[in-house]
Amino acid sequence: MGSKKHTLRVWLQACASQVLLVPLGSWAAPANRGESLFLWPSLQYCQQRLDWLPDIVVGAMGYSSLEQQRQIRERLGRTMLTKLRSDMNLVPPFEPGPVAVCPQGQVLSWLGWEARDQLHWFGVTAAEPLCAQCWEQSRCARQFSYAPAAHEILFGQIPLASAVAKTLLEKVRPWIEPAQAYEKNQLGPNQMFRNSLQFTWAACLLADAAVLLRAHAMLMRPTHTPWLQALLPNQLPLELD
Amino acid sequence: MKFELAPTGTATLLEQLSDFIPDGFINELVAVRGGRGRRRHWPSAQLYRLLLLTLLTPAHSFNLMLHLLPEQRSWRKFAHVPNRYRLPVASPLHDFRAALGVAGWRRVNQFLLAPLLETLSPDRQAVGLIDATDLPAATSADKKS
Repeated sequence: MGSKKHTLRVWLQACASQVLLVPLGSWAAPANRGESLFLWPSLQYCQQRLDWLPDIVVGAMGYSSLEQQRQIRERLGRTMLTKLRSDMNLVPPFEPGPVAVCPQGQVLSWLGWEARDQLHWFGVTAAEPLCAQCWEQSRCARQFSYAPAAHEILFGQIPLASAVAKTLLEKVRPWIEPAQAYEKNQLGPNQMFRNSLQFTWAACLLADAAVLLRAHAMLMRPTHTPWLQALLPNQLPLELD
Repeated sequence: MKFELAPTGTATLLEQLSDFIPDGFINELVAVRGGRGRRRHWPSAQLYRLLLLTLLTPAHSFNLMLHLLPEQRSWRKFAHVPNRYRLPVASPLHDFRAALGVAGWRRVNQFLLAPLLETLSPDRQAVGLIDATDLPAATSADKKS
């Protein structure tokens, strides 16, 4: 049976020239183990061993469940973002997209998360809303609150309908593919003759170490320039024309 | 001038990465045993560097890497084993891998990770990404005959 390497990576924003993802922790497991087994242990590992947790974790659908999302929000105070599974139903105020709408159909924008009350606030921010024609206009505050417990994946701490969540899921999540391809094809744990899970573990963690060393070389390269740099001779172009 | 890492597999990359390997930490983590019994003559950091060579060079096998090591000066320089006539064989590498264990590999990675996490700005939210990659089994059972 083959194996899988489950890795939680963090985006190091200090590297401005390119997207730099470094592994926080990895798990080598037989390929038939479900992905949902690895999210919570990865976060626990970060909290206990690194004393640090990413604020937002973006992952594939298989990594999370409603119950696990609730645990991450309530116990760790962190956000897990994942696409909605096809077997999950939308709940109000969401419509397919997902897009948040008021009971009369006006599109709502996410205004923010009120941590004290544990409530999400949505409101009308469109330039030309339908509210002027709405029969409930006189008694509508144009702001609506929802508890994340109504649907942990749709709401969470960052609702799926928000621009932040859409950017993270559609633009940031694909960054993981080049990182995986580099590890798999160039570092070559795939080409090793892995005849035991123990050896697979070693190959996976060694690949993580190689990626971390590359990150060190990129971010922490010596920037020292000699004091006499300006006085050093330079070769002048020789004009022969 | 823009700094660029050399491509994986080149001697230049080995030079660029060499300074960042925590030799002292690895030597402390898996200390060479004294006393009676089977002894290991190679320092842990050298063995760790040799194991890294299987990923950072085109020799993706421990035996092949050890076989090619006498011919590759840049590899030996990276692993701090300059003498081409006195090189480790496979068994010390195997013993070191077993002695380090999963917890040991992880501790080395934690050591490398700590300064990188310090570069994260507390004003910006840190984004983590979790995903899995397949590592097919080393078998020819699925091949067509």
